[in-house]
Amino acid sequence: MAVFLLPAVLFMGAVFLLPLLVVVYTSFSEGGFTLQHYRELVSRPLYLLVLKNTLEISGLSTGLTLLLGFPVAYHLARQSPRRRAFLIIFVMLPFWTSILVKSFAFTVLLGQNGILNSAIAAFLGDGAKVKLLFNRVGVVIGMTHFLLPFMVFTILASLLTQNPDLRRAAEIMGAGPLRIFSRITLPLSMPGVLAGVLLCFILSMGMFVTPALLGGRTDIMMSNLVDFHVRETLDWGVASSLSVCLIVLTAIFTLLLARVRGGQLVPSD
Amino acid sequence: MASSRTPAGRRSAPSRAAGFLAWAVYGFLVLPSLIIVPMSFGDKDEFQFPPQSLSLYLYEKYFFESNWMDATFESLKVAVATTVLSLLLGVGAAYGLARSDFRGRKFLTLFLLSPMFVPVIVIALGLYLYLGSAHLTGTTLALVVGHTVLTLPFVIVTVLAGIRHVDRNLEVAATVMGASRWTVLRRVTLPLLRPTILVAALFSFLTSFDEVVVSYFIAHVQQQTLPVKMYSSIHWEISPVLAAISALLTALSLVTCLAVAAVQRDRQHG
Amino acid sequence: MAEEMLRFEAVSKHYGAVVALDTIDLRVEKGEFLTLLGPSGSGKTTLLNVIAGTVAPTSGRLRLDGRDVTDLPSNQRHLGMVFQNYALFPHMTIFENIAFPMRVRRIGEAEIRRKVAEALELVRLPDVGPRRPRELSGGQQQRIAIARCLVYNPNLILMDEPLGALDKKLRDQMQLEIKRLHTSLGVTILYVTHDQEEALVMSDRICLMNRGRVEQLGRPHELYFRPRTVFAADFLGDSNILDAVVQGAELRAIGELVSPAPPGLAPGTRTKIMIRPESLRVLDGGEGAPCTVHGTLEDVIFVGGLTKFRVRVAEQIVLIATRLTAVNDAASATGMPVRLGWSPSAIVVLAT
Repeated sequence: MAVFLLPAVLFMGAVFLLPLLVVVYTSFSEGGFTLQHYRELVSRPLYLLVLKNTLEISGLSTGLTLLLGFPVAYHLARQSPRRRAFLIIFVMLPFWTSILVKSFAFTVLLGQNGILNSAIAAFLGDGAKVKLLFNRVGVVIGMTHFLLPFMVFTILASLLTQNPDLRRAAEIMGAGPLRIFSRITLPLSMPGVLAGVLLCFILSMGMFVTPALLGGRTDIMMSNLVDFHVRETLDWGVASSLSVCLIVLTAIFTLLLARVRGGQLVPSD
Repeated sequence: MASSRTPAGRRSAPSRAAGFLAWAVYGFLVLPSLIIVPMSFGDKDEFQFPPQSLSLYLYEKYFFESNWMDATFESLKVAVATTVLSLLLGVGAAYGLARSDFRGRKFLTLFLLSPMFVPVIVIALGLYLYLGSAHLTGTTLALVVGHTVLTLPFVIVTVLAGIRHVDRNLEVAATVMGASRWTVLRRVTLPLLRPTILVAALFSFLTSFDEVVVSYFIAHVQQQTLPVKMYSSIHWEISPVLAAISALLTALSLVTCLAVAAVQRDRQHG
Repeated sequence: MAEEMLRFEAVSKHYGAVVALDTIDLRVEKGEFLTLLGPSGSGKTTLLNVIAGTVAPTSGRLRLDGRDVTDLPSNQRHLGMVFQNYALFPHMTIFENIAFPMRVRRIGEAEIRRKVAEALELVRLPDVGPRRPRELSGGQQQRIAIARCLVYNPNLILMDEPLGALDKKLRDQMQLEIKRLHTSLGVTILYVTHDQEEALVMSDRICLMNRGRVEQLGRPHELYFRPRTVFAADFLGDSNILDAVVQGAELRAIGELVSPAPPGLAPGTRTKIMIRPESLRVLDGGEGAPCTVHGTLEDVIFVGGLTKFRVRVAEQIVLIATRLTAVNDAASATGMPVRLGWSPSAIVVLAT
């Protein structure tokens, strides 16, 4: 069996693990061992601001995604398998579409002279135009759009594993649809909802393209800051320490996610 | 889950509201990708929605501009190489994980899948520093390697899931009948995994073709991939050609999406 | 003594603290049809898998046709195996399925064609070669699976509950079909099932297993009429099991139930006795029997060709008597006092 596993393991060790270790190493070195790259993070208000941004934007986007995603998952779960296979393409297409195409589309849609604002101006005049791009609104919209498929799939999977006999039994006993939903369907879907929320939060914390293309200067997230330090200030030390913080942050939520999924992050027997 | 119709056949108000909201979200989901398409048929170097007259002007600009074509070709090269490498490494690894039972198997699985849990920017930075010190950035090899780090976990997850549908008894039967492990793999397991491997390949190809963050970090100007060039364009000087490119990419996504759905449907009727 | 095909020498299998097999010593003769019978968890499937080579024993040796094969890989043992879910390769035609083991052995194409045709004739499915497994019914698929085993003359054919997925009528037919093949080909078969009826119908010998051990090994008749333990008595067929104590020359069960005691038991020994329901007769009027007991008829259960009578003979004891259904059985009124009669030779003393 080793012959099957060895190539992949060696590959990952060399090209994934080592580079990660290099990042960790770089975060602690400047000449010799040092903590200055980490001290930098706590000393300048910029970093805390960016951290706050990251958490805020992730939280907002995840919340909105949950609000929009649950009805879709619920709707899909209630369809016959054939209809569901057809409708799910609405969710799969954005899932498989390049983030750049999506971001570009939003740029066209949300800009000052974009489709939405042009339509608004046509009816209500130029003064009614809304700033939807290069600000928090734009980022959250773009982020939510990206996250929706993940939320929908996670919750849908959870809903589909619910035993349909439970609902039927409740129906026979006289419960109405609202009660069935609030007392049976919703509570049973909580693990799926929790998993979806954690997953989306994890994904949004690490986002790079969406805040870069749809956000304004006050919407910089941690990934963008890492990019800034690599590209502009050439400060690899701080870029690395930021990365390590990002990993740690992500790891915390990933472990929570593993907990929710019963100790399994990936399907196994 | 059955639909919640009352015996009279009418759906309750809350479920109708939920349905309405669901359809609104479906619209939100596909709208961005779809508005691109009419825009891509515009005939001028500016954004028109809807376009005043239909033409292939923007598509011509894309296909006849060497910058875009070079970037596209580079992306194609890298995507194909990444797919091949990911499959070679991943199918075997998934088989090894699914058909063995040793201490630390769970840990090893987690290790092989860990890039899924690390933010892309960190992987990009790592590769940048690591390959940079070896003066390997800017090469096609570096891009292939970088992309494979991202696609390999998904290949493994996909094949692991697919192997679960391959009846283990088939392999036992073949073994008891005298087949060596390689024969079992070649004549029983792999043929039955064909649809799964196809899905993994499609996923790999598309992910690599659309990959931007890692490519942005480790590619040089001469080795720009299509997404990197698109990113720069959107960031700095937005060009209507992007509409044509986006429409083509959306078509590619749609084809992949339908192919995956068809393969999975086949497997259920298999 | 018949030639030996398979021998287990003190084979044990432990999964951590769980003992799946506990020091099994077993001989399987050439050409015999041996059934491993037992409830789930008894170890019969583990035993089968040790022979197949998919499970390695924790200790002990395994001999196949004289050779020690304990460390020999699965694919070199020259065995055949039939599974409950048929395990036919869905992506190959029936022809290719049967040809598979021969291709592995690099047999020539012409020879393969001949042998496949032969095998299909043997299982009476001569025309299905070009079809796919999913086009065949369950019973047909299982026959093909058997044909696939026979075609390369293995030492031993292992059958792992092969009829479990079929409905009753089909199962009955297939039992006879397999038995027919066994008799005409003389191949050694090791059969695993939890269905005691199946075991009784098909086997030359039955190896009854319980919690990783061999409970009793013997011919079907032996196991049915002379079970040695409560488990064996209970597992095969219906049984009436009672506590009894040795008093003088007699075995006295609760109340009036009395039988001559077998020799060699000390007075006062507590033991269990068993009598099969078909050995208990509901006596008419003044009819006599070597041993009798009074009781009240609690229930008459009609099971088609057989009728069961539940008779309460003491506060906690109900005996079941079975006989072929007679026309006037329906007239028996529950609540009636009845007498049951039997012959002392029908009593089996069980080890406790």
